[in-house]
Order: sequence, then C-alpha cells, then structure tokens
Amino acid sequence: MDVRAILLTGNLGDSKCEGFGEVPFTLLDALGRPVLHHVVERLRQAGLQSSDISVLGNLHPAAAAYSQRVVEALGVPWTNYSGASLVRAAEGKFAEYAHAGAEVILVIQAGAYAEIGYEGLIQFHLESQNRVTCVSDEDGLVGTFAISSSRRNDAAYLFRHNLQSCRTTSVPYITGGYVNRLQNAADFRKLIIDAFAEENSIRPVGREIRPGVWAGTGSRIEREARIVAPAYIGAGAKICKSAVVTRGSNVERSAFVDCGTVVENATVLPSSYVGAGLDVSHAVVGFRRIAHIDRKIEIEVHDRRLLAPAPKAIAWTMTGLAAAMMELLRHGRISDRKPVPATVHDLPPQIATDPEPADVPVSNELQHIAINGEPIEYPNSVAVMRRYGNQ
Amino acid sequence: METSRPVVVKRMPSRVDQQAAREFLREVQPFLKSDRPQLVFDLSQVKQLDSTGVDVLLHCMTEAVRRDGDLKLAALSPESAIILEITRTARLFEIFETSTDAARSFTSFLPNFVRNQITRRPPTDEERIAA
Repeated sequence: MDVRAILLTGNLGDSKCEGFGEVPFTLLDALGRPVLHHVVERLRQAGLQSSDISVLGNLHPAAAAYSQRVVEALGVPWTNYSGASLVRAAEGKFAEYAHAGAEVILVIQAGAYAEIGYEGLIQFHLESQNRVTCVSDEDGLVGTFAISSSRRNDAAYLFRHNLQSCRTTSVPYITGGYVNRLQNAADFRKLIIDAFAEENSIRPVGREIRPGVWAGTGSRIEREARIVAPAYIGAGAKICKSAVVTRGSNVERSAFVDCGTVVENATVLPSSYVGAGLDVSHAVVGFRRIAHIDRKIEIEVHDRRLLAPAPKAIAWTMTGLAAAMMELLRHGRISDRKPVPATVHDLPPQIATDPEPADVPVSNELQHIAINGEPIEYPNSVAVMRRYGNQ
Repeated sequence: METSRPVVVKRMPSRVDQQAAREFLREVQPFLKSDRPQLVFDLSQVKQLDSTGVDVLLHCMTEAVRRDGDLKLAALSPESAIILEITRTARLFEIFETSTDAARSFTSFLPNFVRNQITRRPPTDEERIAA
C-alpha cells in the first residue's frame, strides 16, 4: 500500500503556535534528539521512506532557520510558508501525493507527541471505510488523521479548519499509546520526566555512565560537578565544577553550564550557555529565554552573564589551551628556570620584618591553648570543621 | 519619635539595564545616605532586569543595612521575580505583594508598647485601674 505523510509544524491559521519562543516544542531536543525525530522514526517503522514524508511549516523566519536545520538533519524535506499560505501548500502537497499514486495520506499536526501505531491506524482506516479517520484519546483529538487520497475536498476542509473539525462524521481511531500535547513548557518537561521513567518510548541518546545518568559523546563533566540521577548530559555539553544537575534535568548537546550553577528539574536547550552561580529550577532555558513552569511565563534574557548562546567548542578548546599555557608559564615548567622558593628578602617589608613565632609553645603530641585563662588540650590530629546550611 | 522616620517607596523603571541601573542608583543615593533608611522598591513595572540591576539592588541593600536601615521589595513583576530567583537573590530580600504592605511592615516589628502608642487611643482611667 502506498502511504504518504504530511507533517505540519506551526498552526495553519494566523494564531501563534505553541513553542519555546517561536520554535515548536516538537523541534526541540528531548534527551539527545528532537521530538520530531521520534515521529519520523515511527513513520519509517510503518514502511514510509524519507521521500514519502514532507514537513511543512508556518514559522517565524528566526525560528524557521533553526527548524530547517533540525528537520533536514532527519533527511526529510522541509518548506516554510507564511500565514494562510500554509493551508494552500498543504492542499497542494495532498494533491501531489494523490497524483503520485498514494492511497492513504497521513496528516500529522506535529505540535503534539503521540505514540501511535501507524500500521494499525491505516488498517483501521481501510476497514472502517472512513473518508477521514481522526485519532483521538480520552482528552480529544490528537492531531493525527488518515485521509483517503481520493477525498481531496475532505482534506481541504480539514486544513481550512485548522485540523479541528472534519467535513463528515467518522468512526475515530482511539489510541491507547502515550500522548503529550506539548502545549507549554510544563508539558515539555513532563515528556522528559516520562522518558526517564520509561513511560514513553523516548530513550536518552548516549551511554549510561551511572545508573540513571546518561552522557552523550564528547560531553565533559568536571570532577567537582555533581550529577544526580535521573539526568542527561548531551553530546558535547560541558558541566563545570561545582555545578549540580539534578531531578530529571537534561542538558542538551553543546550546552554549557558554568561553575556553581544548579540545574534542577529543568531543561537546558542545545548550544545554550547558562551563567555561573545561577539557580535554574522548574524551567526550560535556552535561546536567551527562560520558560518558568510554576509561574507559567516565558521571558527573554538579554544579559550574557545569565544566558547566552554557547560558544563554539573550538573557542573553548583554545581558551582552555591558553589557560593551560599560562599556568605552565606561571609555574616555570616550560622554561629551564626552576621556581625558586621565596626568601625573607623577597617578601614585602611588613611581612618580612614580622618576628618569627618562636615563642609559641608547640609540642609534638599536644598543642596547649588557653581559653579564658584555662588551658585546654587538643591532639594534633583534631580537625575543626565549620557547619554550613543543613549539614 | 522612632516611627516618624519616613519610608521611601521608589518605583523601578521598566528596563533595568546598565545605564538605567546607574541612573536609578543616582536617584536613590540621597535616601541611602540618610540615617537608618527605610526603603521599598516597587518592581511592578520591571519588564527587563539584568545582572547589573541585581547588583544595584544588592548594593542598595548593603548600604541600607550598613546604616541600620532596610530595603524591601514589593509587587515583583513575573520577569523580575524569575531573574531574582535564578540569581539566588530573592532569598536575601523581604518581598511583599504590594508596596503598601512593604511600607507597613517597617512598623510591624516594633515592640508592642511602641505600636500601641501609635495605633491605639490612650487607656481610660477605668481600663488603667482594671489593668
């Protein structure tokens, strides 16, 4: 059977699509791969070739460039249209596929992530003899339709009504699979958490370096950084010292989390820099934006000390090399001159002239210290620790 | 009297970047240099706050505390609330829903006998005898 698929990113109408900034959530990376990748993989599993799939978008030019890179990396053609022309483009693509001999055309609103068995859907569509079969779950339409290629008017009606209503009533295909409508940042975070809990079929791309902690190829986690499972560090990402990544957080590819920053129940999007000493929790950050889940607000951040695009890996390598060279030079390991210990004459006068504390009574076994005139004794092995916070 | 010291409520501009922060600091400087300054910054209009703005807030707080005063924040816009939260500075300030609440809070921690003098009428002879 000849089956083709049209994936629509962005809304068919003029309304703003749900996404982070202008980029739909389906094009954002979730544990190493864009969500759309999983949709395309399912279509391929159902027997569709890359040439049988088209992705049509209605995105802002700034988001379109990013989206194009994401979609083309999947090996699927992508075309961006503006406003209402997407409807005409979708109708045109439908007609093109019908002319090319397709029998059933799947129309998928790529705003949601739904784990649908496409073979079962096509089988159901043929058996029920629907013109258009809507896929729905207990909460309503999922945004996936199977349309007989001869029903061009039904398809046009569907496109012109923003995939919200069908021209004729038909028996819906009820899916029992995982569905996430990805309407806001909270939904996107839920998708990640569900993936960690294996409630959907998204699996982290990379190696499980510890139980519940995955790291992509080329990721760098400094020794003093702390990663608490479940967590994901994407390929080429860097977690600097004293940073903490915890509670189901994912730091996507080539992202950079600077020293001392805590990433808790949050997503750091690809190629994003998160500044030092920050507390990023319950949020999706990247592209100079923060979407806060609890406050249900998305803000733009123009301060490069807080959020910025991550510098290229080569730049960091060069910076690292320069720092290493400076360190070597400072310690005199490159030059023949060996580091000479400072003598009393080299020290500043106020230090050098201080008398040596020769009269302090120190024994080998015990140090005698007097508090309020009463001597107390501490063995040499005693260490004094200061308590911080909840320790 | 102790409570006659004024509470200065200052509204922060909608965009607190480097230049605006410097200007804002110049405006509040005279109040910070007074004895035991009591300041409330209203952040309801703030749409964009960067790390310079946070630095200014911390500087004002430090200056106020150094002179035995205090700085409180009120009516945080969502944008400013998020920036204060991610920079871990929100926990350093007392934050109120409205600037009125923040201004009132300066008297609320006074000892009861001082507050009674302000808010209540003097006791009558019968009340004094009964007490």
